[in-house]
Amino acid sequence: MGAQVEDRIERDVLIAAPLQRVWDVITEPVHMGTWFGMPEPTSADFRPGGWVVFDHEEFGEIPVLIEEIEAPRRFSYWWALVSAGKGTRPTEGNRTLVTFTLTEEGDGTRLRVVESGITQVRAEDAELEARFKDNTEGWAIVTEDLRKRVEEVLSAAG
Amino acid sequence: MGGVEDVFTGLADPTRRRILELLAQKGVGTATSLAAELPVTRQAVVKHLAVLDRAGLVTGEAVGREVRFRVVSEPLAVAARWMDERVAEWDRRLAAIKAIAEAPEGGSEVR
Repeated sequence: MGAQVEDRIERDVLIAAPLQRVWDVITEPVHMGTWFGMPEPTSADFRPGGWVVFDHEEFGEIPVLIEEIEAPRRFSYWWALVSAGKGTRPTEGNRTLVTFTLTEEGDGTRLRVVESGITQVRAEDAELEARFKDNTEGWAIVTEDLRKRVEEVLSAAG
Repeated sequence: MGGVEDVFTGLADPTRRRILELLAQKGVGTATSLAAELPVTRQAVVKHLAVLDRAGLVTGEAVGREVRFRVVSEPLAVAARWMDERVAEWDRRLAAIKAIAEAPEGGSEVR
């Protein structure tokens, strides 16, 4: 990737599952905890303007602010940088917006994620976060089976 | 100690990102030489260079009547590394979502 820095991150994946199934996985609290790599949220108000709060072993409390939910195709939320401090709520200057969009593709679902507002954060927070994550385990997968499946998917993607 | 711009403020504008690309490609540039390759006025380039300079992303050296600018690579590399890590994290999360969504359902829960 070199020294290119854009204002947003865009990634996508084709999933061999129906749209509704993918929607459930990304929006149901129990699943959300799993792919984030932490326990189920301690509280979840899944409405625009509502809060979903995770309690991560290493990073502490992570509050997420729901921006929009348009079942089953669009879901977005704000969250603060880890380095902003445990329990810090996302506010201007320390947060990014994550937007998921789902579209049918053949028999499967194209899941697209955009994380935007990257360059609106403060660089010193970004640097703190990079160093913090260098020193920690990073993401945690709940079950061994799931870990193996994820690794298979990653190595197949190349 | 005012006037220090945040690195990401420096990077937030697409013209400024393009200026950094051009400087990285050519090694050095002036407001005039950069403006020749951009759809903005020289005056606008001067302003952008000032922001980049305050952000520590470029450094200027006066030579005769013009100022020659170079990219300062370290802050850019830090920002790029942070971005790369975030990209890698998202790829892992998408892979995890895919694995969960494609897994045969256990049948223990009814939806």
